[in-house]
Amino acid sequence: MADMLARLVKVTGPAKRFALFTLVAFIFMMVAAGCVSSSLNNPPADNTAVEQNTSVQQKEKQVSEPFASQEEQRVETALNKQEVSGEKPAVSGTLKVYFIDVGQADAILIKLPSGQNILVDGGNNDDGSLVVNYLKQQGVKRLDHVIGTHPHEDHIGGLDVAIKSFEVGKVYLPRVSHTTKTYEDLLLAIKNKGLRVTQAKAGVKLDVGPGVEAVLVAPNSSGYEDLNNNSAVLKLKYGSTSFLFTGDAEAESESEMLRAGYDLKADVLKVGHHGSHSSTTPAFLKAVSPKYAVVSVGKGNDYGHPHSETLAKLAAAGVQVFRTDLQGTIVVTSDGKSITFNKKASPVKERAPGTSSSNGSISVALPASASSGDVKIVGIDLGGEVVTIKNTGSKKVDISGWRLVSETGNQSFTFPSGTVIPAGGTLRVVSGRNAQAGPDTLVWTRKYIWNNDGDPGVLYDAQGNLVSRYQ
Amino acid sequence: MLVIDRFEGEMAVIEYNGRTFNLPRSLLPAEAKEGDVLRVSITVDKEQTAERKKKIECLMDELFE
Repeated sequence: MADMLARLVKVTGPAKRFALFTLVAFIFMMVAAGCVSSSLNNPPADNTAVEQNTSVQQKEKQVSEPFASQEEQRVETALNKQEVSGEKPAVSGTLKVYFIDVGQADAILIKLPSGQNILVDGGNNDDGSLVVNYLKQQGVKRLDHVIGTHPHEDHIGGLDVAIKSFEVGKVYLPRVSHTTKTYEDLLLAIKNKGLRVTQAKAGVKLDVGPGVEAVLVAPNSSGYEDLNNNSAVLKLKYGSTSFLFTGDAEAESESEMLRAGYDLKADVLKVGHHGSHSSTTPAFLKAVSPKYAVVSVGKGNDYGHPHSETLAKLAAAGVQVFRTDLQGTIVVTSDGKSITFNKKASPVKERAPGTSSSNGSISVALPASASSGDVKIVGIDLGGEVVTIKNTGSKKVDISGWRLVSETGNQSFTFPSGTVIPAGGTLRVVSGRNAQAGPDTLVWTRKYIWNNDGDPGVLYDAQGNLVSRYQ
Repeated sequence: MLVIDRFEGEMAVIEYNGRTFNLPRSLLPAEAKEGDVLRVSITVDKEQTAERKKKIECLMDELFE
């Protein structure tokens, strides 16, 4: 085996070697772990949180303290006037939402005042027993509703184990297939339990007992290029408090939810796609107008989640952000009038050196270093689909890996490596059916990008710092 | 079996024996989509290996006392 691995490492080209190193390291870990898929075994009977030594993406995971009372933060939510005037059933009991720390994945338990439980996603494949044990610690005996938002492994990975481990009422999945073993395992777990699947789509109401409204507001269509947009999005309303759980819904699904006219307003937003820039468009954020946002994300993940532009948008909107990578499992309690978190909101700029979080003040991402600050978007021809970027400084600037973002549509163009703008030089980025490459002209796509009714363009450097915004 | 579970930016997340690992998207064929099953064949480039060995050993000779 070692000999085979050694030979595998000797391959062509630096990029391939890097990738194959990852592959080889992975295979090695699989071998070291004996290739045992623990997720398929019955979970241990004890109720203690489990430490798992998992492969590649996840390191050790342990569900943090369910409730840290000393850090408790209590914030009254303003009563919505419409809701005060409208007739409401008497609200009693508490609703609890547990954003379980499953690293770079999602797993959310909702305990309803009626005693029913909802599980939204189940973490990665290796998180099955962790999630099951955590649920048992919270006294869960039955999962009345299990929602697999979409078939990606970081959402449905542990759901098969959860379904095997509890009495289950209904299972909701969007009707979109995936070829992975992970998805097959989920379908088989459902089948072996003699259950059927309810199609998750906009308009589906969950029967969650008195006092709480639970309705899916997405997906609104099908045939998306990316599975993320099939995400089941759950809106929950209890008394005057509300929650929106978005799975990995991206810009396309967000705009469909807006068009469909759903009441998206929510006190607590589970930020879409782990805080990726593919989600949380300004229009969507405005419609939701959350007071609090929760990002379910793994520390030091390989994808840069949460992306700094998403954090900047949330900060600019004055939203308090909670993150599982910084704060572990986050527990939110609603009594129908007010919302309580078991943790303090996270500092806005976690990565920025020397940023103090002690006063809880909010700072928005500032433009990057002086040299990159000399690069500006100097014009966007929305109709002609031409963006002009100028280097106003006296030194050339390498913009490899920088991104140009159309804010309205949330589309993004990454500058290829080796893209350099000379001192005083300009670069055009063109799109649309007539887009043609030329000297100092890059083609984004043959699709139309810019919304003629107004569409700000934003330039981010390779680290995700905002460099220039043009409106 | 290797299956593309998803893309995350420039990374492809590949499912292998029910677990996942990342591969730069640039190593995959342009038409590769989520859910595609991959066939991988790896060969050793003896020529480049020899070249690398020579280059590194030259550098070592230069540095070692």
